[in-house]
Amino acid sequence: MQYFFQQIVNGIGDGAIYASLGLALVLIYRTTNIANFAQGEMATFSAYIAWQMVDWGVPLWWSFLIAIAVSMVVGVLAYLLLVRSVQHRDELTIVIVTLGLFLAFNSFDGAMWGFLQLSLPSPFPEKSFAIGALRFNAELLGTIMILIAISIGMFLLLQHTRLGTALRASASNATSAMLVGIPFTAMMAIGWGLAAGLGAVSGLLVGPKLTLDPNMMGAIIIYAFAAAVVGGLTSYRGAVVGGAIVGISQALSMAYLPWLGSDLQILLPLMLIVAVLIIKPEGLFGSTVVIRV
Amino acid sequence: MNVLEIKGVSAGYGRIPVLHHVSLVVGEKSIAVLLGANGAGKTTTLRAVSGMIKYTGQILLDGKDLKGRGPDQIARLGIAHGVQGRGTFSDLTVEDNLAVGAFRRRDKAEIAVDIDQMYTLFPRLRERRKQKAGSLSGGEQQMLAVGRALMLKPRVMLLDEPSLGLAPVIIDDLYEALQRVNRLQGIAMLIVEQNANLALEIANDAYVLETGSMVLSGTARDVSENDGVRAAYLGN
Repeated sequence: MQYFFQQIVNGIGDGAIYASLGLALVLIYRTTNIANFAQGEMATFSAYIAWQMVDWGVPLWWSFLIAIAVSMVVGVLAYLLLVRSVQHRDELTIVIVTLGLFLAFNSFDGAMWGFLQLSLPSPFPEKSFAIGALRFNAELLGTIMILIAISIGMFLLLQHTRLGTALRASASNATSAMLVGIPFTAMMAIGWGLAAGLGAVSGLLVGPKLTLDPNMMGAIIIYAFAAAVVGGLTSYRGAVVGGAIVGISQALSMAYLPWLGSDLQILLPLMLIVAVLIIKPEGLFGSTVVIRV
Repeated sequence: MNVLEIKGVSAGYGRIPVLHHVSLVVGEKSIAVLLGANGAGKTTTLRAVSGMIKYTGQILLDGKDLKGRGPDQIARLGIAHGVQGRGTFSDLTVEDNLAVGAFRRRDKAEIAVDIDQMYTLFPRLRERRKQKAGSLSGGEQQMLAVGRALMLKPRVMLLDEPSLGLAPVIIDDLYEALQRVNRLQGIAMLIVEQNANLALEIANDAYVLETGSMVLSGTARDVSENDGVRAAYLGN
């Protein structure tokens, strides 16, 4: 039984990472109605920025903050220079553009930093605590605390600030948002910037756990999409709960279904996505659009 | 002094011309109504004013040329445009809709007072303040759209068929509220209507568009006594 609960604890730790990237996906989906397949590669780029800072001798926490800031600027630029011009085109065009962004970031990372594995130091100490029979290491607790801080921060920003209300209004009705004086393009750019910042956090959490290479987020983005889709793709709460569900089910399957092996692990999130889309297409927390006449 | 002046405006969508040299003025604190059949160019006129489409000619707000400005900049200058149908933010609560309407303003304390005033003007909205706008009935949404436009404290408010699809008793309430706002706050209005009776009752001036050209203009009283207008828009 203790083993079972330990798996759940570990699963929540991984789930927190999927949730942070999932939150970025939801943020972009809600503000610009785009599923950003490049979100993971943008996060990898963020991890490389942090690595580069550390390599230049910048203190670790500063490196991470700089990486997040640079990523946000890059997110804003990606919207303004590329996404904006195709935003109102058909879905296929947008998908192709985000896949193009995916390749662009992936190749850029490879060209700049090579395809060899680098290691990004962990911001957390190598300590662990025991609560009852369960073990929590500092990394796990830190990851969960960061996710909680991000969630509270996003809630406060979106629900209790002028900027947040303007962001929600722009996502809800672009024309009316402009007609009340909200600078729509700026709001979309800010949405992409914030999402890139959230994605950067996930990249910085993943980097030290795995090794840093251009394809580091390849599997993570799929888990993050699973988290977002399970939660409904439009719900921030859904992304967090979805992240926990995906993380826990992954940990349990590793513990109890060893024959799956690491190669077939990836099937799990895909099965979750398919199951949710069949049983409850709007996700656990998603809202179906009701048009009232 | 005129708040809004439209001078010789031509506009259209792509290569299809809709408006031909349309001119119109809305005086300080007055209400102008723009009548016309479906497809006459009424909505297009409003869209040109709020910067949503390109046009030739001139549109002035308080003497300031609006050409080349985007809809958000024009809104910040003081033009509130209540679009036809669902102009509300359906995923936001009624209260957030009103708060967003005041986006261009910085006077926080005043905004809270004005939100309360909107609830006095439209008591149904107070009951539904925590509900999402998308869950309101058509009449309530229209009231919310008007309330949201008023929250901008506009120099001039453009309203596109505010009575569309509403029950007669609700239309009466709405027009009474518009008249009260105009009298108390001195907000000028340009109202587009197909259903002209009530609009002409509260308006000072009236204009009639036919297939993109202005065919008649004058005081609301004169226009409402015009035989052609009576036949076409007043049902008698």
